[in-house]
Amino acid sequence: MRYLAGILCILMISGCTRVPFQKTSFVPAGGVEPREVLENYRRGIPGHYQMLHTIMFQYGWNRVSALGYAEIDRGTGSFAVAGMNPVGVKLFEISGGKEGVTKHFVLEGLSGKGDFTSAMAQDIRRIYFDLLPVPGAEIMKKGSRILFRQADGGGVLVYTFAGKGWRLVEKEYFRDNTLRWRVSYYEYRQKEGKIYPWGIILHNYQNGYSLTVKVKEIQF
Amino acid sequence: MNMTSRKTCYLLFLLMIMPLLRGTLSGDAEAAAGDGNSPSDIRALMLRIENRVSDFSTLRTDFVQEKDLAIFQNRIIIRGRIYIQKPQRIAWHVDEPVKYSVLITDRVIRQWDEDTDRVQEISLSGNPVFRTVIEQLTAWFSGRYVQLLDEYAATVIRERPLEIEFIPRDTSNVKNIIKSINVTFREDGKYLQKVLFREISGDSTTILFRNTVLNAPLDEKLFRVKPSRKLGQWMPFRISFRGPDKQIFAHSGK
Repeated sequence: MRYLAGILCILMISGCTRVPFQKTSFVPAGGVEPREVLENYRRGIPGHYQMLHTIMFQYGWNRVSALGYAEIDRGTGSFAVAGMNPVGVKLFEISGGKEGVTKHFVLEGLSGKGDFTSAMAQDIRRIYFDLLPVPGAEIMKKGSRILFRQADGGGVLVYTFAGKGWRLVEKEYFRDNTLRWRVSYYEYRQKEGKIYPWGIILHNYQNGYSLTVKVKEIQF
Repeated sequence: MNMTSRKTCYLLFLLMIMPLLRGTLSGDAEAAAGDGNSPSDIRALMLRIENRVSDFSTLRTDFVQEKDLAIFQNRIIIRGRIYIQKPQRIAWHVDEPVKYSVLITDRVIRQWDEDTDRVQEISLSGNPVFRTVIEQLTAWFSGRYVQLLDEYAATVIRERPLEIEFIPRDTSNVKNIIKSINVTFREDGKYLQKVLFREISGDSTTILFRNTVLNAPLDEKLFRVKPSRKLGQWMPFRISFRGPDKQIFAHSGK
């Protein structure tokens, strides 16, 4: 009973993160050339695309889901996203670039919860942009993973490439030796010669929430 | 979500359900013939529809919802089914692109979606906003169309098939959101064919109704929001213990 209570206690404190995607199958990194991994990945991912997806926002034990539509242009660093409930009622619509963000529409209840627009823009940039490390990033091989570490905004950004196709599976940001956020990419799929992750989970440890994204349709 | 935004959200929801108000309209097109758009003519037309709409106890229909957002080029398409059982039960099931269901009764609103896999229930007791919503829904399903004229100015756009445009009056709650709502009836005049919502923002939504059947027997399971699953259909999940470190809340990050 004590063990059971302990486990329940840990679950209550840490929160349960449901991962509705298949885990990446890891392969040894022994003879793999890191620069080749980056080049292959760079060639494989689309530069400009539109997609329909579902988003689940989880805060503690609260879960809210929505439909989303996004246009991403990695070349210019610009994006436009809209969220709506499954019945089709629009919840938010924003667009932005590398720096700024424009609020086209945010439902009153959402805009009242802090700076929703900026937070959403920041999460979009973390998920969909800067998918490759800078040329001077430090390279490490750890078993079945290849890590690229680089200084970023007063902290350290770590890219992890793994799996049979050696694709980006994680982006993690540390500051003051503490993990601030992590983006995990799951189940890469191929369409018209381009690859994209079918599932994405962003954990924002600083603010204690997660976003789970499932791609439904994508167009390049 | 505060009360105002809930109200906004559900007013929009109501507007989407409004097209389900239907009747046998044989003869109504004729009623709207000629000029047909004077306030008295429109009121007479609405009254005629109102008098004919109350002859069903159940309704089932498929729908295709096409949403055009002004900032995107592509169209978002939502498909699903709607079931209505008088006096006060409405089930709205979305099948694509995500599975979602909402049940509205005179006492509760219950909803479920596949991503959260949770049933959320909102009681109507002590919640005047939802109570108002249900009262309005009930009124519409009872065929009290004339009351729409309090909030909208209606114009007959076309006679065959009959198309009526509703424009929110200056005093309407949705005046700042909705530009117009166009309701088109089928050629046979018996049911709705489509409803087009134009928003002030430039967005538009079209709902097309297909395979509509009145007074068909409806299975009780159609009014359940969470689909029952067979053993083995449960999605496997794992639990991550990589939770947040408490000290991170004390810092601002990138």
